[in-house]
Amino acid sequence: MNNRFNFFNNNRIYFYVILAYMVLLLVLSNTYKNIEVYENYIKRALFNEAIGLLDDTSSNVLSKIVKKNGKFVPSNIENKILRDENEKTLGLIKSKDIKSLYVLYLSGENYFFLLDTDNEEYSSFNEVFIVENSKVFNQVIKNQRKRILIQEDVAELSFTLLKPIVEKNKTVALLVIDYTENRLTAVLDVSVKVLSYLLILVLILIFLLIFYMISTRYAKYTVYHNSETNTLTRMYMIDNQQKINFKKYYVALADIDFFKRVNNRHGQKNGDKVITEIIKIIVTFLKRDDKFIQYSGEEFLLLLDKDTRTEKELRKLLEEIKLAVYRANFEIGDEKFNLSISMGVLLNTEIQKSLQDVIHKADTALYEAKHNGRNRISYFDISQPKRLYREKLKEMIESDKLVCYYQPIRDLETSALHHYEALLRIEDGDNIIFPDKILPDLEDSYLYTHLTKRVIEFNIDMLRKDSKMSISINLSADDLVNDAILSILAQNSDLSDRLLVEILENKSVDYKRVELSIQKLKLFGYKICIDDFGSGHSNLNHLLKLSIDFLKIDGSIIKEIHHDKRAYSLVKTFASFCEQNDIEVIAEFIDNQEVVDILKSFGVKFGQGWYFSKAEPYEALDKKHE
Amino acid sequence: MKKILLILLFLPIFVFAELDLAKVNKALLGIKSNKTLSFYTTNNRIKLKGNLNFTSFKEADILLFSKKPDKKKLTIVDSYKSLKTHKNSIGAIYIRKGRTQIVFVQERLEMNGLKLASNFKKHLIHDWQLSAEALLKNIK
Repeated sequence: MNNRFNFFNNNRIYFYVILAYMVLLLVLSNTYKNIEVYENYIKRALFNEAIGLLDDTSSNVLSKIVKKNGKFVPSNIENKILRDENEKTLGLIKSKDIKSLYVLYLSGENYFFLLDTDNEEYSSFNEVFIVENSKVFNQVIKNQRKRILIQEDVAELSFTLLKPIVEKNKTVALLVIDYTENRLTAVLDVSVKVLSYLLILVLILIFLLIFYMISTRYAKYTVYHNSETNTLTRMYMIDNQQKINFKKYYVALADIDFFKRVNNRHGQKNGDKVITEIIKIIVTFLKRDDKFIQYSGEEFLLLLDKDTRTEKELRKLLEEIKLAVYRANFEIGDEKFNLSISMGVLLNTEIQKSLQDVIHKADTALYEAKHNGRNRISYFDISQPKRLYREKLKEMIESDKLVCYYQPIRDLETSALHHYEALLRIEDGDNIIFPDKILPDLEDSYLYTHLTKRVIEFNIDMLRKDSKMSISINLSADDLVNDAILSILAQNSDLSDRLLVEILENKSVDYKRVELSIQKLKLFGYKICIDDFGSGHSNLNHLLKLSIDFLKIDGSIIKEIHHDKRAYSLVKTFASFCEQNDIEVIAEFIDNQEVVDILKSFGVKFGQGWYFSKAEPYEALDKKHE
Repeated sequence: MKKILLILLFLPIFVFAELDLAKVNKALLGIKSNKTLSFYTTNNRIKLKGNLNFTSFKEADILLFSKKPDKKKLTIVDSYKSLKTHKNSIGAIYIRKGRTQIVFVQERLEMNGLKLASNFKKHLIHDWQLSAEALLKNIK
């Protein structure tokens, strides 16, 4: 509904097109009501053409008769010979299209026959002739001008020509010529009908055309506009990249800080509401010629018109927007919270080659703002370090450049393979990009979730291809509270005996929700492992609550175990704790036999590290998986 | 479609001239008298059309389209010639030049206590107009 209103409000031309169509319909319907009038007008015009020659001939004949007869009417009444002669002469005018040709005169208010050329239905002179259209007959007498009378009610006749017979400037009689229905009238009748049908057809076609035009535009409009905020969507930018004259705008790329947490905590529906509120705040600062494009969920592209503001004014405006968002209070349920946005801005768009270049540069500046603590605006500077632009990352994630390498996790006693840990890699040509290069930049953005989904899907495909393989995948605690990710795992629970979920704790985790998600996963049959235990966010108390199957001790502790007493006793304590609570321990970063021996003495069951094998692509693995 | 159009274009339309019975019916209803007039005719088509009161020859006030007018009954004849000849005919109904002609003689109507509704005035002629001499005299 919103969209329809906005659409017609923004495209008034269609409103006027519909209005014009309605007016056209009204005019045509009014014309159709009076179709007979127009039809007769056309017929009269055509009949006039048709009788052209006959008209001249009859005028000549009449003129001669009148001259010869003296007083025309009395002479013919009195003199039968004259009458016969005149009837013969007039009869010469007749053609096959003429049914009757006769002369009438007026006596009192009635017309009487004077002459008749009709042999089959001869009317004797002085016989009265009652005429239906006496007004027309009288007008011809009065005006002394010929008239064509369309005959609709008289069978066999199409029209009647009335010609005044004038004697000394006085109309003394009327020459009446009845024309039969012929091809011309048949053609005319059909033509009018065909024309009417054509007109209706044209109207229907025009209507369909207008309907198609508006519905197509409307469909585009709905794709290009957010129905809540009437702002442009990413699809608009994709379709109109070449058309947008980016050089006339300052470009700012804005991103809501830590927005993934809002989604994870309150669900995507509530998250969308918050985004809508923020968009509404921002657009109040924009001018008519500015463009606001919802670049992705929580990322906005602002094209700010250069003509209506200076650089100084722009900087002030962006600060105001940032402050307005920061000061806004958001409320979901009982919880009230504040959010901030970071912005990357490119000022000198006029020297850029493409909109894509402009966005990349604004994106670089945005990362700078994020890395410098968020809730700030960063202006692109050539000295800013080059990063993997989000757009490029997204492209990589979507394409087959995203792969997983697999590192075996082995039984420390038997060296038998237990499973592989899937480790994300991006193959950019010969260059392999490691996750630590991209994940910090993606943290708390929609791309992170997107990436996680792709990793899960990649490994599910792998497990379906290779039935002997078991894999563990890494998920953050935030991922676990994401419904979309849980849904993928639920749908593939038939693989749960070969797919182990490693969870990385972080500071933002909501343990209650994580606990609930773990319970769900365990219900689907998945085994759960806590990853990097012993690093910053580990908590033994939570460990007990989460009822996990495996615990992976952080590599930074394991690699120190043989020469650091504190690391040694820490691992020993963790191992003892796990043994008592039926949790299997995995040690990572094992790089020599000495470490293996120590871990075995603590009862640590599984290990991984370069001592056993590096992470390798699937193609390089021993397919027996022993 | 093309054939249908050709047929429509070139099909001669044969329509035979017939009395406009609706018009006749209206005109006969337009004859006013101090009683309801009843008619007699052998033409069954006109009986089917309209609200005229038809009855037997004996009981009828006016005979319609009678070839041989009865001297005792008012008659509406089927030609102008008959109207001229039979003085007890009050009117004539016939076809001339494809048009239904309804003619009443004013004096004859009045003589029989009849008159015609005002909207049928154009159908009235005078008795003298039936005579060529009188018409000539009038013209001169």
